[in-house]
Amino acid sequence: MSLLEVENLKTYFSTPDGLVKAVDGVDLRIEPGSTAGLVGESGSGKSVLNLTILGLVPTPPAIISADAIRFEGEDLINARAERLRQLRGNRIAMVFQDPMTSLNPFLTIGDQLAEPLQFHKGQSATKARQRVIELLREVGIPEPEKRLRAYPHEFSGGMRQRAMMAMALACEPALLIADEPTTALDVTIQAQLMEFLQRIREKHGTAILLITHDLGVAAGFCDEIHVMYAGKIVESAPTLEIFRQPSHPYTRALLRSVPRLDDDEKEAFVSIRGTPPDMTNLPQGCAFEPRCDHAIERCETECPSLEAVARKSEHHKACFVDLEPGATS
Amino acid sequence: MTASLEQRPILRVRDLRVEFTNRGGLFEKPSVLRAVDGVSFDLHRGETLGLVGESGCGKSTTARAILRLLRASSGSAEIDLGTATEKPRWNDILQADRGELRGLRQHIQLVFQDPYASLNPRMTVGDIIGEPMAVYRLHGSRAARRRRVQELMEEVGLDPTFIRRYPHEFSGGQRQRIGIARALALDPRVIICDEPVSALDVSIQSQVLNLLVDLQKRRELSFVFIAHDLSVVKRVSHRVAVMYLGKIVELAPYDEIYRNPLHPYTRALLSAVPIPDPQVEARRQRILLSGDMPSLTSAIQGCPFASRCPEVEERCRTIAPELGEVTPGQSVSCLLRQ
Repeated sequence: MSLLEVENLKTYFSTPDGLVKAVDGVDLRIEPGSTAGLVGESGSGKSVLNLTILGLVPTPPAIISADAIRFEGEDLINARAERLRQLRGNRIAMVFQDPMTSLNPFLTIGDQLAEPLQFHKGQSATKARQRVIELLREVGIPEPEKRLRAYPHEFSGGMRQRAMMAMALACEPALLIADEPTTALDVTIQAQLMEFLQRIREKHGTAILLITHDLGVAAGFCDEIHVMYAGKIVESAPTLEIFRQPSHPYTRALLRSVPRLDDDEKEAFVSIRGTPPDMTNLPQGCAFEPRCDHAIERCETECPSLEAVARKSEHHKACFVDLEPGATS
Repeated sequence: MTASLEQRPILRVRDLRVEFTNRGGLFEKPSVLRAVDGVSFDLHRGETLGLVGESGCGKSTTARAILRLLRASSGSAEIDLGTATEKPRWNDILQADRGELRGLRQHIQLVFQDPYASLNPRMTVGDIIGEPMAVYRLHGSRAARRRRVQELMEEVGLDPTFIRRYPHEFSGGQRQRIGIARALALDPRVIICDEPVSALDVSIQSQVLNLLVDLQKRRELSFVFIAHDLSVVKRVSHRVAVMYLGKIVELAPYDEIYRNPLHPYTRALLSAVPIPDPQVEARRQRILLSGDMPSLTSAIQGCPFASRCPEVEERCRTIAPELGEVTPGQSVSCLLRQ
C-alpha cells in the first residue's frame, strides 16, 4: 500500500478573470520512506497541490474534486476537519518556505515545539520539554536548553528553518511535505538543511515530498521527480532517468536553460521562448504548445494525458511527440 | 577573457566603508554595524565583475554606496570619464558636490532586483523609460524623447507599441526589460545590476541574461553584477569577487575561481551549490559549514571567517588577513594561502 495516493485531483478557483485551474487532474503516489520531488516554476500549481492534500485550501472559494486522496489507506477527501487536524503535524507534517511567517512571533520556540507533542501525544509540559530539547539538539541548534526560551526573531533564518523542521518531526510523521524549504536561505545553509533532511529520512524512514523550483536541489535529494506545468504533471520518472533522458519538451528545455556550475563553456544561455502561461486563459490543447519547439498540429487542439513512455516503464510523460533520444541537447 | 585584465579600469573603488550606528535603546549599548568593511576593486572597460556572497555580506550596500544612494563612511569610488583613447579623467563620486554628482550619475546606473517594486505602477512604460532623459533634459522635444524611448524598447526586446501601457500589464521578465531600458536611457558607461534575475523564473532568467550580455557587447558597457546564484555569475562574469562579512575574501578570473578556489569560504560556497545532475551530485563532496555568519556588530579580531572555517588555525583568530595577490590576477584574503 502506498503511503499517499492522489488520483485525478482538481483544485479550481473562480476569479473575476475566469476559472483558474490551479491543479488540473493530478495523480501522485508516494511510497513509505521514499523521497519525491515536485518541480515547477512559480504558478505551476505545486504549492496548491500540497495545500489541497493537507486539506488547507478553503472551499469556497476553491472548488476541489478528486477520485481519491488516500493517506495510509484512509480517505482524506471526505474526512472531517477534526480528523485532518489529528493527522496534520502528527502523521503528515509540513515545512513551509518562509520560516519567519510560519512561526508565531509571540510564542517562544520551546512553547511552539512542544505544542504538537502536547496536542497529538497528550504529553505533559515537562515531558514535552525534554523531547523538545532532544529535537533541537538533533537539528543542530547549540545550547538547546537556553534556546527554548528564545523567540523566533532571535533566531537567524537558518535556525528558524531548523526549528520548523524540529517541530515538523516532533511526532515522527510518516510523511513530511517540505514546500521550498530552502528557497529563502543561503546556499551554505541550504546544504546543511538538505543534509539534515537526508539523515532524518535514513534514520526514521520518513517519506519526504520536496516541492522546489530548483532542479539542482531535487537532483541531489529525490528518488523520483514529477515536473509540473500549468497545473498538470507533465513528466514523472525516477531521478536518474529524468535527467538522463528527459522526454517532455518542457523538462528538456528547463534542464538546458538552467546554468550549471560545472559548465565549461560560456556559450549563450538557452532560453525557453515566450512567457509562463496565463492561468486564466490557457490554450485549448497542451499548455506548453505556444512555447514548444516540437509541437505538432494535434498539440493545439488536444491535451495529452500522462502516459508511460514505454510499456511497463516507470517513466511517464504528457506529450504526443516522441523526442529524439539524447540527454539535454 | 584574459584581454580584459590588461584593459583600463573605468571604475576604481578603494577602501570603501559603510557603517550604520545603532543608537541603542534604553538598556542597550550603542553599537556600530560594519556593513562594508574596506572594499577595493577595479572594474575594467567592457568587463563584468561578479560580486557574490550570501545575504548580509554587504554586496548590495557596496552597490548603493558607490552610487551614493547610501553615505559611505570613508573610501572612494572614482569613475573615468575619459574616452578610450584619452588620458583617464578620474572623478570621485563620493566626494562630488550636488551638481557634479548629477553629472556623474549619468554615467553609472542601477538595475534593481525586484521588477515589481522598482517600477512606478502609476506611470506608463514610456514615462518610466523617458524620465531619466526628461530629468537630464536630453533629446530636446517630447517627440524626440518618445522616439528614443521606442528605440530603447526595441533594443531590450519590448514591443514599442506598448509605450502607453502600465507595468502591471507586463510579465516579470518584461518588467525587468523595462528596468534595463530605463538604466540605458542616459547611455551610461557602467551599470550595476543588483540581483537582476533572482526574482524571475528559471525559464525567463536566461532571456534576461542573454539580453545583458548582448547589450554589453553592443555598447561596450561595464557591469558590476551582484548575485547570490554562483552558476549565473559564472556564466556572465569575467572576474568574480566573493564577499564575506563586508569584505572581499577572494577576487579572481571566473574560470580560476571555479576551477581553483583558494579561500576556504569560496570552496565551501561552491561545494554547496546544487548541480542539476543526479550522477554528478552523488559524486560530489560537500564542505559543510557549521553555524551561521557572525553578527556584523561584533568586533572581530582575526579573520572574519575563523568561526566557521574548516581549516582554521590558531593564528587566524588573532591576525586579520589582507586581500593580496597570490597568483597573477587571483587575490585572496587568507593567512593559509599567502
